[in-house]
Amino acid sequence: MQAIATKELRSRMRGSRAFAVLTIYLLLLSCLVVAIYWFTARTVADANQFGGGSLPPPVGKILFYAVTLVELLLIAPLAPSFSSSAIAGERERQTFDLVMTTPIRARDFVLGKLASSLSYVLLLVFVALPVQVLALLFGGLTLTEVVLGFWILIVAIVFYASVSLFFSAVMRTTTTAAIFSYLTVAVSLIGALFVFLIASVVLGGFGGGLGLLFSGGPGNESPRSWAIYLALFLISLSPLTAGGATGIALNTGDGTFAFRLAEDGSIPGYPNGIWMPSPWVVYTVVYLGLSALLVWAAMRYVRPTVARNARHPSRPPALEPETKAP
Amino acid sequence: MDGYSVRDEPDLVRRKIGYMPDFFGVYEDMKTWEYMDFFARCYDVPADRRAKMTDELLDLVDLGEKKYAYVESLSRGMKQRLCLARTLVHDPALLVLDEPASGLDPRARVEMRELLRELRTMGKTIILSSHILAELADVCTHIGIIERGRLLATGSVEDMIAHLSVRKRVGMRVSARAHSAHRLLSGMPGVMDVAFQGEAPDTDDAPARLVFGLTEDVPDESAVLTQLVGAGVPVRAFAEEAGDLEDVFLQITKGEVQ
Repeated sequence: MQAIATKELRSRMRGSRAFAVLTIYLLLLSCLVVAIYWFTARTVADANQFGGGSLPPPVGKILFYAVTLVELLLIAPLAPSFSSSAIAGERERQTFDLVMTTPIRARDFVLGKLASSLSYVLLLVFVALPVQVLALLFGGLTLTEVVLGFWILIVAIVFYASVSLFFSAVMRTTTTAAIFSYLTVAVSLIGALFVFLIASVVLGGFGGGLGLLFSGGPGNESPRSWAIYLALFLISLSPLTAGGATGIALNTGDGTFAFRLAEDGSIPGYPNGIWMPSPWVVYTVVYLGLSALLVWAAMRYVRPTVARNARHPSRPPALEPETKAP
Repeated sequence: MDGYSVRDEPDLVRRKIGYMPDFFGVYEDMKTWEYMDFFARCYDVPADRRAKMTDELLDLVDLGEKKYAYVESLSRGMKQRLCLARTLVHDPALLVLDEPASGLDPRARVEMRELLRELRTMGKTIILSSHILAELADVCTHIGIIERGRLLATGSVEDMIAHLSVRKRVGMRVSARAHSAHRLLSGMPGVMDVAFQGEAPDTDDAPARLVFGLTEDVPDESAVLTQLVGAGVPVRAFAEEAGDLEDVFLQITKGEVQ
């Protein structure tokens, strides 16, 4: 694993490309932070000046959520771009067979590729950390929110890298692997949101369901409990919705890992409500579980096949018996 | 393979084999020493030995000066030599080389051949495949001919050529009546594969060179010469040709694989 990761990182960090990507990424992020701060501060100032409506959330909170969202949207396309060429690229360069003739195991090969892809993308997350936690200075933001925001970002990156690596192992060309990887990322980011909206319409009573975690008002009729659980699951399928819903669940003050919800699904943090796992918990289990499954499948695809004779392992596989003429 | 089962102990077998494919897969953004270092790591060569071993192997293949050059900047011959050095990083007992001299210029071919000889003196067993049969005779002790996955013949180079000489090939030069000679030879018992060497002459009066094979039914080729001269064919030269690996190959294979 170390051999593969070292080689990949040597190649990746060589030249100006890696540093150019870092610089452009940080510049973009910084510009966006300034723009978001300016817009938010102005909105909050207007709200305070004119009053009337409910108080807007603190600037720090808005800033942190916005920066994390932008970071996710910037990094999401980068993870597949590094991982989708990891194995398919070896096949295209005709170096795959060469590596497979060495004693290196499929497990080490795949994990080495994953480690090298992840390390660069995680570097992007870490270098943006000072920009991300800048929001703490403005107040209204808890350390739990910061840690969970960071965690949701990292889990998403691990999943995107694993998906891309899987397609890279299955597909013959980098282009096909990249197309499938980007499609998966797109579905992960916006697909879950669509599924949730469609489910809301189909299930009817969803007006009073978890959809209100976003809209904040009671619905027309009470949804069934399974529909609430389904809605929570669907929300947890996307880092965008999982992140937003986790923020709301944290605001109830019920705890980091679980929160209460009124039986009609309308009021988060309802004193006699049913306990539900926080969306980030479900999201973590689903995304990391899928990641592990995909990496395991990639290892299976990469592993060289050895024909074995089940009865006599040391002998060649038995020949097919000749078919007799009727 | 060296006491290990290929099917049950593939990992141990891999450590005994150095494989060089016919196509040199290039890693972009990689220097020569890094290429060697990467494969040394793959073979679990200890860290304290890697640097020294890289230098020694690069010197062996005469690439010491290119240690810090990018792999993609090397010429085809240099890449082939680097690839050969790479197969030696774990000091394998057996080298499997697929067309090691393909695509090389004459000088690089000679260098590659010298390198293979040197490896042979180092005690390595080398299995190499090649379509350039004439070159094989210079470096190989044994040959095997495979067609459609079947091993048709195997043995030492001398034995294989000696086996061929049982079925002699004769080269003949005539100053005229080439077509008549061709017809005569084709009709003789024990004579086979009669062909003009080069283009067939337009007229029967032009000189030409013919080659043909003799089966075991014709123990003495002088009988063929006597018949030709008796028929009025002006024979200027008539001699048995030494067999080579190409003749062995042509005789043994059925031409199913092109």
